[in-house]
Amino acid sequence: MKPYPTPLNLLLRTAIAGVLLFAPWLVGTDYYLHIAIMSLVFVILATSLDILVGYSGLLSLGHTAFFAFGAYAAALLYLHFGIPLWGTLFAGGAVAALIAWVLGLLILNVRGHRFVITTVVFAECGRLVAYNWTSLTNGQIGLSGIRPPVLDIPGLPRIDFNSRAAYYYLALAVATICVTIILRIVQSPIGWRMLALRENERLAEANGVNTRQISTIAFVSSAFFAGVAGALYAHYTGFISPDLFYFSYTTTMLIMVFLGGKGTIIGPVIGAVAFTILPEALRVTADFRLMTFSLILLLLVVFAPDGLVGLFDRLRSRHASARKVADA
Amino acid sequence: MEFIPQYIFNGLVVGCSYALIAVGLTAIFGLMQIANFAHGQFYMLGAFFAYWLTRIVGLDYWTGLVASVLGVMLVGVVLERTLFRILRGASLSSSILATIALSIFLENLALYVWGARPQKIVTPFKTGSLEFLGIFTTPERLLMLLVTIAIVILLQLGLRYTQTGKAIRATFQQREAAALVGIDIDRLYTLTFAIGAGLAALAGVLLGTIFVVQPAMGGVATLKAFVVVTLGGISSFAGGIAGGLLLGLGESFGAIIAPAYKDAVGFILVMLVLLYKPDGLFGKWS
Amino acid sequence: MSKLSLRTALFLTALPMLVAGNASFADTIKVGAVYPLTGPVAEDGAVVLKGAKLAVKLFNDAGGLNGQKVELLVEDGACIPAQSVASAEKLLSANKVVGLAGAFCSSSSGATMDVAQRYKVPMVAGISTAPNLTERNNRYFFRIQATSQMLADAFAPKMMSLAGGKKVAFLVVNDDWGRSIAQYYKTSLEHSGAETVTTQIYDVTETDLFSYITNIKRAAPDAIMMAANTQNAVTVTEQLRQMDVKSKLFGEGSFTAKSYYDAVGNKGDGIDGLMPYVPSFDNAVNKSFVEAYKAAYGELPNNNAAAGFEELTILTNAIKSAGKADPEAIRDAIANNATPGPSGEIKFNDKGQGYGFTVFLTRNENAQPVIEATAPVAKPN
Repeated sequence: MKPYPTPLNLLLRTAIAGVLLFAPWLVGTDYYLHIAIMSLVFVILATSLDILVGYSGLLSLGHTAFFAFGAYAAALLYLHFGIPLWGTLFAGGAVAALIAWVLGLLILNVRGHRFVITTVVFAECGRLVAYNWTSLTNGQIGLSGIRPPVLDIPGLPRIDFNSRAAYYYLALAVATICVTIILRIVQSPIGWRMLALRENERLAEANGVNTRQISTIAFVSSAFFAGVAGALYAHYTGFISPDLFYFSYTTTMLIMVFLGGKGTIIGPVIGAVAFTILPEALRVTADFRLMTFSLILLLLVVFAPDGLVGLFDRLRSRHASARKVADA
Repeated sequence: MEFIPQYIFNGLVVGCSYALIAVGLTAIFGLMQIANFAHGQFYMLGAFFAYWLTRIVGLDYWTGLVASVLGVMLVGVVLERTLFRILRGASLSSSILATIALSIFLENLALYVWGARPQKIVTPFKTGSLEFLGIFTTPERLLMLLVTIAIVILLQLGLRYTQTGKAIRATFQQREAAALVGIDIDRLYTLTFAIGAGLAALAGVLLGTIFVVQPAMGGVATLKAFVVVTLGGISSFAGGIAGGLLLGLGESFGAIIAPAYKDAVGFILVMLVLLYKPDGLFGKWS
Repeated sequence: MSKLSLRTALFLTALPMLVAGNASFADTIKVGAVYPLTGPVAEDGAVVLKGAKLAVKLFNDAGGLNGQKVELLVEDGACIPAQSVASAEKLLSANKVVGLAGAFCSSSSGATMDVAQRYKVPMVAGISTAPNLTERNNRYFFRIQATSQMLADAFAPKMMSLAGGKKVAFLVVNDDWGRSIAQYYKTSLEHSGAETVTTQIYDVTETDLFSYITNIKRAAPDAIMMAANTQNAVTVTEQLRQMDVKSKLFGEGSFTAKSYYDAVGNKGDGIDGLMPYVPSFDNAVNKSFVEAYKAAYGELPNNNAAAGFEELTILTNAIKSAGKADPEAIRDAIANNATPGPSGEIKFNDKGQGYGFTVFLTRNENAQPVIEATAPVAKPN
């Protein structure tokens, strides 16, 4: 059913793939690789949020809590039990998903502002726990020394993921897998039901959609991927603290989703990359940074909720219809 | 347990500030159906205007208080006429996100204009500590209590006996019918928004005299206001007041057991309400 | 990508010139600092920066390293560990600084020192007092401050004699610094006969302390040990007075800062401070430091200013001693040298913990700190 990609499209895709695969050589310094890795972490985060905000219409503004839970789970498993990244990635996602499931039991029966405020307050409570349960989390000092793994498979060359270039490829692989799975979810019948939930919940119910089940699936799966992103982040920076629960992270994710275009998955990917690079480029104007970003978000939400992808689509359809006229 | 009155009094003072902010939010949210996540910034702006007028410009406290509230009401009117008019038909998600963005913008604007350093609004009272019945307090905190009581009475009287008050109640209950009867919905919305903003600003000035004024105070206020509104229900002012006092008292007593988790009290209360009385303790969607 | 780096490079060029006020930038030795310039302790961070800049200025005015000047590049860590780490990354990776100062808050320093270790660049921390920072086997990390444990051990007996009773309560801010203070002073004071009746921990953003103070009053302590910086110190003082608390008050933190005195005036009188620095200390280095600071900024320095000054003095002295802008040589110079500072001579043990200087017990009288007792800081093991 999908149209065969045009030559231009193929060229574009090859170019992007090339840039992604050869980035460490193209990019040069460790600092830019750092930005690239952070972009990939946020790609996973933004797309996971899109499942909720874009596809299901569930405005969960405590999303960063699941990112943080995943990071803490990974850190604690690594530091106390020596479980390497391969295990903590799944564990981080699983822990976050489990917490989301329990929370969902309590709050997924409400909508509107109550749902929103509960998720926000939940994230704040998460922060309080991380901050005060010092015997577990070290409180504000945080947990440090979370190392990336070293791959010692006999017959293959030794890969040390402590090197930034190696970690970049790891992050690229994880992000690609996550986004692919998320795409599969939203393009499946489950995804259609999420859209039904977003558009008109009562109507969906009337049509036989089990909205409680769908919203739970959306909530839990998005939390899972946020947790995976958290684990990826923890092993990269080697250090995590209760700051990960701050609302500012959710704000960043929201901007990425809306900038790229909500409800598209590819939109948040673009938004994540763009919005990781942008703050670093604007690092110098710290005073105006947040003012500019919030203004951008405001304008996007009000005037262009479909973001860059929507803009691109509109341009493309205008171009396509113009072409059609010319053909005739 | 001779300290219980002290804990109660502490909780009441804080609860009054929550109530004032929440009542303003109820007016806006309940009447206009817009979840204004920037509401706490009116509280912040009220405090900063008062700081600027009394400390920098040099007005006396009471003039500064009135001028600040009026100033924020003006800001509210401008915002209502522009942004909030656009948001009127919008989905809940859009209005929440847009107002969140507005909130962050206002907070950082204040940060830029006045700086991060916490400021104090100069108090008009000479005495520091007051004691009665073994309870310690300050004149500023008593003022907060008295003003809240006065506002509550004024609101009740206003809603029941004035023309505008009746119009508000009518529109609250049945928007289309009210319009049909000839009530100017646009003007009413602007007025309500202004009142809501003004109440928040008043709380800001009073609290800014008790504690400190800083740009970050708005975000916290918004959060508390929405918790209170969730507790008390969206469509009655009584709910906002009761919810505010409940939250204040809850936090004060929660501090006895686990001071670090004081702010989690709100979460626990919200969870309880959502589980057992999802429409809030007082309210029902009209 | 190239447009990005050009613009960034241009701005990085402009920024250090603004900071160091140097005409030619190409030939300078770059040193980095991660300080909180925004956030709850921004005010203190600004003062630390003042001290740091003064040290760099004095070094350059005295000829620098054979005519080569040192340039101080500052990034905002905001006392947020993740941001401090990013700032350090920027300074070490993009700016290639040969020495690092910061990051004020213990948790931020704790995170940043890992970065310094990775890049093999020495880091000097003048303020972070959490004792575990020097227990992490990081040969690139040096801490100049007396830890809360050292201060507590030095003054516990004297504190108990001033307390007028055995019962002690704690009112500390909820971070590793505050919690360390509660932990270590509790142990030291109890060794001197104290009985801890309650520990109240408040959030740094908390403005209403009445509940916590009510909790303390219920326990009826003879003395209260406080931990508070900047605005918290003001709030704590005011609300303790509002609630008419009669216990003897001790505190670590900003209880002798100018902004504190400006805000509370005489309400702070009678509070005893455990300070790593007092401007009235009679010591040659201190006298010239105070004079230079007053000339540059028009006010007396406090412990934060002294800390920033010491951080950069140690770094610049080490650069001179090493004779070259080589991080490894600078690190060795720091470890092996004794640097004269405003509170006395500073040496480091092999864990990077500073010692050899003096610490002070002060009393606020008429909005001024008066030295009540001093103690030397011996070499820790």
